Amino acid sequence: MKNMIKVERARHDLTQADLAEKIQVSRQTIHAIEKGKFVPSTVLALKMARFFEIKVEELFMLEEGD
Amino acid sequence: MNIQVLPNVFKKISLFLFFIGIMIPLTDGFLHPFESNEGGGEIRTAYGHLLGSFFLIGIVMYFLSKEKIEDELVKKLRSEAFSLTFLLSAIGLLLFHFFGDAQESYFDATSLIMLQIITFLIIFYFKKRSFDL
Repeated sequence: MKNMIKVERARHDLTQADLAEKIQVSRQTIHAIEKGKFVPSTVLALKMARFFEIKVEELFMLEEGD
Repeated sequence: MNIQVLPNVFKKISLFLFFIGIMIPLTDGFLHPFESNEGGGEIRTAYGHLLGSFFLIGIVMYFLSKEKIEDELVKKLRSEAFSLTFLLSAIGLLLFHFFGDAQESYFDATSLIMLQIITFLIIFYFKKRSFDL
C-alpha cells in the first residue's frame, strides 16, 4: 500500500514530528508509515485523513498485489 | 488488551531495582569470593532473598511500564515480541523434550517465567531499535 503522507505533509509545511504531535503518535511511527514499513489502523488512517482534510482513499492507495 | 499499566517513569525505577538486585550479589561475590557461609547462613539467605525480590520486582515493573509514547506501532511490536517469545519457548521445550535428560525436570516455574520475560524484553528492545524507537 502506498500513501501520500509525505506529499500532504509538505503541502501543509509540517515536519514528521509536527504531524506526530498533532495525531498523538511517535515521530518514528510517521516515518515507518511513510516508508511503508508499517500499515496504520483504520482509526489512525482516518485521523490523518481528517487532519489533512482529504478522503482516506486519497491518502492511502492499494497497489497491485495488495 | 493493554497490560502496560504503569507510567513510563517506572522504567527508570525498575532498572534501578533490577541493577541493585543484580550488581550487589555480583560485587559481593568479587569482593569476598572465598568467604564461608558458616555462622551467617540465615542472614545471607535472607539477604539473598531480599536482593532476589528487588530483581523480580524490577523486571516485572519494567515489563508493566508504558513506553514514552504508547502508540499502535509500539503495541504491534510488543505483540510480535510476545508471539516470538512464545514460539521460542515452545521450540525450547520441544528441544529439551527430545534431547534433554528425561529424568531431570528442565526448569522450575520461576526460572521458566523469568527466562520468558527476559527473552521478551530482549526481543522487544531489538524490534524497537529496528524502528529507531
